[in-house]
Amino acid sequence: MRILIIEDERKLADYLCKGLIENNFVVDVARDGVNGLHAAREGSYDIVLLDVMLPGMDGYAVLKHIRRDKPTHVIMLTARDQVEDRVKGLESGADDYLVKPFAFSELLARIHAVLRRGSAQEPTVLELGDLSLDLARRKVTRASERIDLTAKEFTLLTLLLRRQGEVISRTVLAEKVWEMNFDGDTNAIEVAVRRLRSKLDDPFDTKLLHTVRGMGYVLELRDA
Amino acid sequence: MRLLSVPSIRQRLILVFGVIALVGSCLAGLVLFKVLSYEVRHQEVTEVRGKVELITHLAAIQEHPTDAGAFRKSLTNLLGEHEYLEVWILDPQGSVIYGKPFPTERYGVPTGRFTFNMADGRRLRGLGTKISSDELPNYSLVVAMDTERGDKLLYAFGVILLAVCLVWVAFVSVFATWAVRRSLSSIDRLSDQAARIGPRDVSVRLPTENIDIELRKLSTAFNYALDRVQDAYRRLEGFNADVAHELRTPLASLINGSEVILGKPRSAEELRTTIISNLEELESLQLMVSDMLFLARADTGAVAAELTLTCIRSEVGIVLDYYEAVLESADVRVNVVGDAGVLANARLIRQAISNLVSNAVKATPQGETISIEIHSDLESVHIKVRNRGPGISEEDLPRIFERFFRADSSRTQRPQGHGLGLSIVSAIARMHGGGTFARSGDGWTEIGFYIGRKVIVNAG
Repeated sequence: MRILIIEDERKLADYLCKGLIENNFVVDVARDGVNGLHAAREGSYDIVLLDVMLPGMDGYAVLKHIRRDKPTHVIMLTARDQVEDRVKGLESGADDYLVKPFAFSELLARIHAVLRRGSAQEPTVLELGDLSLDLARRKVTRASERIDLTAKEFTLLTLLLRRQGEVISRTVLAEKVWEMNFDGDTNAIEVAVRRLRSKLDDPFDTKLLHTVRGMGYVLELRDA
Repeated sequence: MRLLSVPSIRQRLILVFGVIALVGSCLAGLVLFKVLSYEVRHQEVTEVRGKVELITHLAAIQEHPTDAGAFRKSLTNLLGEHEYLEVWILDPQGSVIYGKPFPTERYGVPTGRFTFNMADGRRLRGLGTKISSDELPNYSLVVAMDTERGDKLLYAFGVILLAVCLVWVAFVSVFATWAVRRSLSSIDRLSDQAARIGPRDVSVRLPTENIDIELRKLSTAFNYALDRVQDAYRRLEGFNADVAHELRTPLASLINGSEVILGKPRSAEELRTTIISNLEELESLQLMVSDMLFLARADTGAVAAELTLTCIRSEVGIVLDYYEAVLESADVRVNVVGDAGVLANARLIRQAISNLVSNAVKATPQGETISIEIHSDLESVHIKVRNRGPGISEEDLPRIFERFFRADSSRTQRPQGHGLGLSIVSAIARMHGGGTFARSGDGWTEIGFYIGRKVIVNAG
């Protein structure tokens, strides 16, 4: 997967570049709007991360030109979070809109979400090791034992299973699972995850749900 | 009116007074003059009528009325020499048998009241009658009076009247100028006082004692506005200091932690732990910054956008779902009463409810119940969260919605949250044309907010 970062803030661009390479993306960086647009037109990128405030040519203009040529996915990055700015970004054809400061895990999640869009139909049964979640029958089993979950726990587990191996931040969980799409009291999530873990992992030897300190949670099979 | 568009109150009042005096005195003078001139004319005619009666009587008792010489003598005896009075007796053919030459060729033989000009330029007013005695059949008697006497009187009166009017207008103008100047001098005093109010002297107020009632109202209103400005100013200063303080502590720990860790070679695990701790610190800073930005926007008068018909009860439901695990582990139950649908930004309402519930959960002891009440009337929707637990003291209660306010003023032990939760509730309520309320007693606390039902218009 190829990603182009158009960002004039050198430090941020470098960090993003490094993080994305470590997550197995092929990454190029452009430092201003004109070079960025040129690169986006010439190269074949799956996703362009586009800053709004750019020297040379602002992000909206770059986006307009990219959209004229190619159906490349574009995620806008900006420090402005007024509703009008969001609307302007999304209306001019951006796939997503991320407000600075954002967590790297959040960016990664959005990139995966954008890439997943339009991909093949998802399976109705999600699996990880001996854990299996049946979306149609809303049934969860582990080692053939049925696990009873509340509605929210089921949604939470579904999300973690779909993005298994990916660290998901508390903010993303709050938004996706509980529709609490604002920064707030994340203590509630810790408690909710702890409860899910008590049902999912505590009776078993192999742990699946892991806390990544400072970042969030990940569901994955780890070598003991 | 052009007159009233003069930009100065002083000039306008003086002008209006002057014009009123001028118009008033002109009207009065005109009426007086008219009445007097009517009286003068009436007097002349009355005098002439008296003479006519006398002469008619004289003609009746005269032995030889046709004898001009004898008649003239009797007449002269009767009337005396009056230069302003003229008497003519005309025979039926119109020729003068007594009197000066009469301009019959221009006026004929007058009957009744008449006015005419003599050949010598005098203007006469008089009466013409028939004398019907045996001796003088069909003779005419004409008596007239020179109007000059009356005209002179009227002229003199007119001049005096005009002079009185002018003096009156001048007097009124001068007096008005003095009175207006005197009345408006308190405005000047107010202006001087107001000019002294600056950023350094925000405590200066306009006088409200010993001042005109009309200005007292202005002064009071202005002072009230100043009070609010000063309050906001003080709060802003305090807020800035608070922000600096709140940022300083986590920044200090970030800087020190990083420096210490970099001071010596460390194991990867140690570095990792530090970076994680830094990340947590930074995330809380990020949350604080975005909350402060939100509050700043609400302060500059931002109103809630993206309004949809929001069911408050279902928003409460979403929030309770979020806190479900927390409530369970704290062994706290929640009881929800009432419902309302209102035009609002659902996300913001949810955030406000979430902040209230978050606070309530922290304060409620194990095994107790939190009750959430949704109450709606024609004008507003009230959302109230009541919980048992240590109450809030009387003096703290009004301050809980202030930024960074914490009931225990120690900052050494950082409590959960950054002290902006209730300020955000208050900001959200204000953005929806509402406000907040809080009550507390022994072992219970009730905090809530209300939002207006009216469609909110952007106030800028």
